[in-house]
Amino acid sequence: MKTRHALVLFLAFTLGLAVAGLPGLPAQARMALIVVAALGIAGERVVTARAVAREREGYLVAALEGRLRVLDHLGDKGSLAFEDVLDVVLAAVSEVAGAPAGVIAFYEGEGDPDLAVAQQRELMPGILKAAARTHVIPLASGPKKIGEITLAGKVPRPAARAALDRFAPVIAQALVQARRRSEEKASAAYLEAANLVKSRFLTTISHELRTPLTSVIGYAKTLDNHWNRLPEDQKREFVREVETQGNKLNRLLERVLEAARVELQGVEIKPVVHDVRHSVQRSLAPFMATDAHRVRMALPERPIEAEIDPFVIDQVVSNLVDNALRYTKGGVRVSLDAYRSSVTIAISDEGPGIDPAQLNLVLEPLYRIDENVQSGTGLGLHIVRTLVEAHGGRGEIRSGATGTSIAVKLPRTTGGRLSLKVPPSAGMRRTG
Amino acid sequence: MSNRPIVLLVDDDPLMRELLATLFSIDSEFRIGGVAQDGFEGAMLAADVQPDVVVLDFFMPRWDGSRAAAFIRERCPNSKIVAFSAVLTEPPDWADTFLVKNDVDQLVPLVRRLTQSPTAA
Repeated sequence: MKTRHALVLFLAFTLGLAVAGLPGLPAQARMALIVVAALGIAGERVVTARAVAREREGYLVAALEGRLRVLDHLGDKGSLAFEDVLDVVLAAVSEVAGAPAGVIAFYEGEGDPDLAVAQQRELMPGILKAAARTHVIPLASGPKKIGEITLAGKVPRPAARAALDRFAPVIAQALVQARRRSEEKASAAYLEAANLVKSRFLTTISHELRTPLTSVIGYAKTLDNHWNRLPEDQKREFVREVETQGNKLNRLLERVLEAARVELQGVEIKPVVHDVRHSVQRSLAPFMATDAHRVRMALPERPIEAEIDPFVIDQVVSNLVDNALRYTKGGVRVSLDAYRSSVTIAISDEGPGIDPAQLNLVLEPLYRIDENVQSGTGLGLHIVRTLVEAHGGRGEIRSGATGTSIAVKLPRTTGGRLSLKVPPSAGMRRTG
Repeated sequence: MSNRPIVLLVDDDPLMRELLATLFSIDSEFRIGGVAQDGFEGAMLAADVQPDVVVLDFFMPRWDGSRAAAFIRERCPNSKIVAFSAVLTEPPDWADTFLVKNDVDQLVPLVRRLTQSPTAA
């Protein structure tokens, strides 16, 4: 009922009252007029109040509708992460309710009692902790409960409660859609990255193998063609170089095959309790044959017992030392330090550092290697990263003009899990 | 391109660089204008030195061969570019001529031909 109609009625009944006050009316007529007027005014007030409440509810519903539409639009464009969607919904609901604080929870998983909370966002967590819960809006998609919004700090007015209850299914649908969109985006990105990494991997392997091979062939051919023209000492140097490169190629082939296996088959981590110093020393042995003057070991005096897979240590040390020896000119330092719950192996060189642009690429979770920025360090780092992460460890690279230092931290124990099987391409992380 | 032509060597593999330097030093037939370890360095050196021939690897850090070649074409209009690569399988359009790394023994004769005739090899 429009407010002006209400006003007219109000005036009419008031007039009736006034007429009842006129002299000369019979007593019953006067009584009747007063009663009708009073009832009329009371009734009108009630009807008007209801109309106002409905109007207000309509306004709140419209406001919520508007928010959700904007959310939908942004969601289509793919510019909002699912957490942001939850934040916006929570903010809109709490504004409509007039409650300063709240929690929105989104569930995942089947079966009612064991609903796993997939995402939870809070509004004003400080107030939320102290204030009482005042209203709960369950969110359901069909028969399945998919989430809940809990408000705190102020009891929402009836109109707001009504609006929110009416709107709960719409909110639930919006959240389900947003969640589906974000999952699709994540898996598409993951697949794209997986393919990219695989093709880059093959390109890298190809390059890694051909480089020393062309040297071997080149030097041999040069010796063959120019034997009489080259000075003795240079010939000797070339011959030695052929042998060195042959050995390096052999080691490289091992590394490449290992990388291929890790990529294609996955790897099984088998931690063994042993003195980690021995594993480090064993890994460095092949380098001592050719580069002893460049490699310095800094190992502790006392044994370091830890439950670590010796193969992982071997791969970490040999890949990182090989990179350092190949791409830098000075010394390479290998250190081992033990802490209460972890062990750190660090390999440092004297530069030149890794290009900062390259460094960022290597550390990128999805490991995108730009076509133009190709470096052999990539393959070794990829293997190291995959194995270290599978072992529950972490790596840290620091690189500058004076040199690069790569530190790998491995837990001293894996908590009794004897073998951790890593699925292929585990070196990548999902985004979104 | 009288007497000793100037050659610029660009390759990210130190052993290949040493080999190329040796090959081009034999008989003092050429002058080595510079040796660079990546495309960017190679391009900068080329602009400075204005070589007669650039031996340019493809797969390199920072700038790769094609990017370096684009720069060199602009700044060194008289330089000939030899794409010398282990991974390319056919002549790229950014080079005047092309040689597979396994045929390194044919590189000097190729460069010699390039510097003796005014057009290609």
